Amino acid sequence: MSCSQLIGETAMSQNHNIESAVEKLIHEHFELDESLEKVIWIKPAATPEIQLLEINAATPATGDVMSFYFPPSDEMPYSLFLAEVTPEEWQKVLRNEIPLPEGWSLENHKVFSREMVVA
Amino acid sequence: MTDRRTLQMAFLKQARADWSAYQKTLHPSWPVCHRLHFLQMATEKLGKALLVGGKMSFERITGSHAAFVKFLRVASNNYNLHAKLGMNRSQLNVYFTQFLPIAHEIETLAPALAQDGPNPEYPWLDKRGQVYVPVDYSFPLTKLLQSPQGLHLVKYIRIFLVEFEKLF
Repeated sequence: MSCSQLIGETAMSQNHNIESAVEKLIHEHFELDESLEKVIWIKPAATPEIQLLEINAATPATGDVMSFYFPPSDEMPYSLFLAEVTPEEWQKVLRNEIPLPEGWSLENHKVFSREMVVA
Repeated sequence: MTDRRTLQMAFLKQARADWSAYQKTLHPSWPVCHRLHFLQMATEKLGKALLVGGKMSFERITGSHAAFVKFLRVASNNYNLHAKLGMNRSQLNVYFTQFLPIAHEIETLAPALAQDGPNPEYPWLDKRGQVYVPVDYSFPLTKLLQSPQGLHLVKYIRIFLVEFEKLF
């Protein structure tokens, strides 16, 4: 196996691992919180960290995207950055009226709805 | 440019100083308003220290007074807290949810969030024009803080502040 093949397979494996971790986490969040409407997985360009923006009608409206850092652990081997916004605030984020945290971008993201995640 | 860790430790240091002042004001000789003022400030700066870790811009952080409740809502994602408290995510989520109403009351003591109502810093008027002075006002929150949930919440605020570097 060539070096480039090995690097390619390692990257694919890392992508698969982080995707599995994200899906498991989002599933748990939907199970735990009935008022959670959507989760936006913001995929950073290079860093192996998880950035989630959760749309939740029950969270207090603050006019900001308040992102909190959760360090990696044995159970979750990725750094997690997590923010909650109301549905109205999410619309403002989409209209660029509320900024995302530094380094976050909607250029590459995936939306998870409750219907998609919880059978 | 100041790095995020330095900034985070700056907010944490100030939060700890506010907490220390809060401890002093627990003595009955202090008015309730001062006690609540320092508790609110300690939690506000704790929230800001947590926001620094979350990559929020400094300008947005300084203008924010409402990070503490936001943090408690998602704190069950912290595996260090699972280990510290011996609870899994689901248990921790239920546990912290019970603190949210009291945490909200603490947070909204900040004059910027008090909407011209009771706050521990400035006099305010009610709808009939009656003047209230913080130092004379008996804040209902005081009783909430003496409830089991209130006592537990204060205990965890202390743990967050004392063990911040290990937990977050």
